[in-house]
Amino acid sequence: MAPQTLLLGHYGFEQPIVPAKGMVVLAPPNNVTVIPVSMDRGGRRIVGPAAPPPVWRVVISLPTVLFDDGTMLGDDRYNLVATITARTELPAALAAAEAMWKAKRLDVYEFTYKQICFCVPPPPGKPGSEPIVFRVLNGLGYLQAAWADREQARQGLDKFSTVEKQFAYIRAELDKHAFRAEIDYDPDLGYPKRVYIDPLANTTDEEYGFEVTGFTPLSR
Amino acid sequence: MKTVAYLVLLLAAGLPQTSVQVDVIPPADSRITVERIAPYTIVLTNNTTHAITGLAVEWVAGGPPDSPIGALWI
Repeated sequence: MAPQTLLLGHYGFEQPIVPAKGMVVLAPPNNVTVIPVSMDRGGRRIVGPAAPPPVWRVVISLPTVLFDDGTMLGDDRYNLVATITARTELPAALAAAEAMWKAKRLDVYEFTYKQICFCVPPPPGKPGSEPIVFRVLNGLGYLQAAWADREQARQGLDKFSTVEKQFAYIRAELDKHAFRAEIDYDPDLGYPKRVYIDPLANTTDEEYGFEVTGFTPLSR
Repeated sequence: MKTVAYLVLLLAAGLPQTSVQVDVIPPADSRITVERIAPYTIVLTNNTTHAITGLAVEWVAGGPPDSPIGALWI
């Protein structure tokens, strides 16, 4: 039977849930089901597969307690830290990276894009296995080599074709409030190096994102 | 009237909920105390010198008394 869980925390942990020397009343988010085996709420006997699972015991625990000095009691099995910080720290990091990128004024450059997904890559040597290289000129990204001739790929990959479009993609993803988002930016230029989105907790193989390698500023 | 009230009390006492064992497991730090005030409602008191800024509380139901409930509780 899945536990009922209450996660409490203001974005960025900026406000206390329980002040020092204070107290708080906590009740389950929904009614805890405690119907015993073979009886319904009306006291009628239930026979057969409709009978609810037996409940003889309820355990209330506090798996995670976070303090204002950053220390934590217990483990963070519900990703409380990531859930609460994601909405403040990730947008802040995005804004800082965008500002750094804008200050560099790079409008001619090249990079290799690689998709992150749970998908089977084409075998080496087959169409689609070539590295996906973009060359950006004056704010427009152009696929290079064999990919340039694949119209469908051009359309699908357009949102990753420039650093500015990648920033827009990241912003849209952050607005979806995924279960987990990990985004790395180049510390010197600010462009996204790795975007990893895990949209749902307790679900595997649905993660997605992209990596950028071989970033090279070019001269006009 | 009094008889009816006693009957209601007896019936209420016999409701399944009263037979459910409820255990509260406090955090490792004894300066944080947890007291049960209703079947599934608790009061958490923070006797530390730091404010609590994040908290996860878990209610796990199931199993016979005195047996571990899955691997989810501390």
